[in-house]
Amino acid sequence: MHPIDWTIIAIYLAWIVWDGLRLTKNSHELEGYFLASRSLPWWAVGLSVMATQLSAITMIGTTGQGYTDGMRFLQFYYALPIAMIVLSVTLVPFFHKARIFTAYEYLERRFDAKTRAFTSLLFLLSRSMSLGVVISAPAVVLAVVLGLNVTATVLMIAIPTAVYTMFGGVQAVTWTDVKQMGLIVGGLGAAAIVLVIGLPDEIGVVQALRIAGVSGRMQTFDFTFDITNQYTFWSGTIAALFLFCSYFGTDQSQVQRYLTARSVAEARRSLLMSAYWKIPLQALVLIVGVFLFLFYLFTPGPMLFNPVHERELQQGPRAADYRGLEERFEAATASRTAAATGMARAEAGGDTQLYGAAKQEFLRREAETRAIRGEALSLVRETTGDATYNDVNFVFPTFITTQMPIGIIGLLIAAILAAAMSTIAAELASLSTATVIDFYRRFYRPEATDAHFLSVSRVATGLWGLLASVVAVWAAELGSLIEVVNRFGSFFYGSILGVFILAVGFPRATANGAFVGLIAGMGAVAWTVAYTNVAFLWHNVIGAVVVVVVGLAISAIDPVRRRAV
Amino acid sequence: VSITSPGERREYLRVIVLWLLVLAGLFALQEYFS
Repeated sequence: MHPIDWTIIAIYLAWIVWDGLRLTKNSHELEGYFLASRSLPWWAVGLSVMATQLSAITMIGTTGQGYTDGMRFLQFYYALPIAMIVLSVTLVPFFHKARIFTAYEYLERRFDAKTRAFTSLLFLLSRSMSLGVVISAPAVVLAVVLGLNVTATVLMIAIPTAVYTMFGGVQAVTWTDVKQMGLIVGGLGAAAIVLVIGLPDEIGVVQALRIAGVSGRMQTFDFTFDITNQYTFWSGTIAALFLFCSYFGTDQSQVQRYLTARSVAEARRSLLMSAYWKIPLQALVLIVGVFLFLFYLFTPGPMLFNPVHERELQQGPRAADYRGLEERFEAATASRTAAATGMARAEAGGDTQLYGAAKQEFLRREAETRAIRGEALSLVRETTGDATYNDVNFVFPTFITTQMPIGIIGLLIAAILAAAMSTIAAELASLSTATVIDFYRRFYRPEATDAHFLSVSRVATGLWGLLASVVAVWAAELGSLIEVVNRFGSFFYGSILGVFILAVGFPRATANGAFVGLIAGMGAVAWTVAYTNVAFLWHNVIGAVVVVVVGLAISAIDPVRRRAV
Repeated sequence: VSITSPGERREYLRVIVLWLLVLAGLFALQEYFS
């Protein structure tokens, strides 16, 4: 990479830390440090909500999914606007009126201390593990494309983020999120423009998208009802509704964002910003992936996008097999390019018969190219021993470093870092808040001063950052990472949502009912994971429904409630 | 459930209408490009 690009990355890292610390106000009081004294405008909170959700995995994994599978991943987000409305009329007003620091604090007021402590503990467990993966995914990819080792890239992401989160508190997190969101959208927009300009002169954007459509990459609706497949319309609207209600309504990393808003109305508006913009933003990410496919359709590209594995195979004992695959791949992609160009020419000339023939040829060559790439990936799996290996996460970063102009490379790597850091900062702040408020202050030192809690919070942020970095280095050894984050979460998300549904929706639900229901819900999800191949999105539905049903049944026979009635 | 004002109700309706329009637009694009 050119020194100019390294300079841009270094300036970004220095600027974001300086800016995070510069904008810090009132961080010497607990409410200022954790909740920005409930003073932030809705648009800043709304951008922070979106930046927190959009991690580097979205930038690198989702663009890769767009390249291989097209737009169908968009279905995952169809329920999000409805989830935002549901939360705006249910949990958001409860949280604001309760003047709480953490979502779990509300559960003690409604149920008891053990339900609060247990849900907060589940949050700490799942969020700290997933935070490791959120750091690890970009660190692994950046290590390869920048030529660094994974520990160095983990530290490059984690240290600046931990510094401004530790000292700046939630104000630093939110205001840096706002700027990072600008950088992310700007970076994606720049990539989209470069990709469109990179199309051959005779292929227009509409023609290119039609070619993508023929390959199935413009499919945004799959109405098949199949609970083993998460990318269907039904998974995206029913199962994902539970995931989003849980993530935005009960996960402290998101709840803490809108607890900083000035009022209930502003908190609602901040959530509704995602309702309006999340699907278009996700469509932008995926369409960048589709244009990556179109770019490599007309420009010879690598067969494998992870250059390290490509080199290992070229120099290893299977070099002859790999060379053979490369030759077949080059021939197949050249024929595919010719067929795609033939399709575009036939379409422009209005020759439907020729178009039909070129389309069939294109589909044949596309299937052949996919099959050869599949064989190459299998070869990597055999030689590395990583049975689930995929190079989807490397497509976009490899494109950036090999095809983008100097300067834009640095900007886009900074955008990937921004996507990682905005998510990590919010998660670190929320882990620290839950640790201090739900455990340290609740059980160990209820009467200490704000100054004491602030010191403990800073130490907690640093320790969570350290633990997440260790998990990240360990997770880097695990191989494929896309969706792992959501799987970690989905093990608990549905069940925690179930407890909040009992708390807000069922006045007759008791503390014991909620607690037993929570354990039953997690047991049901564990059983589903172990004995079925139900797609992980549906685990959220199973968890929530089991908690509510068991919780209500136990509440009905709970002696504590009988005494109270 | 807490909807405090007619303005709030209108905002939710706006989200739902836009959501339906976006889904319809995406479906139309899928059909146009396939």
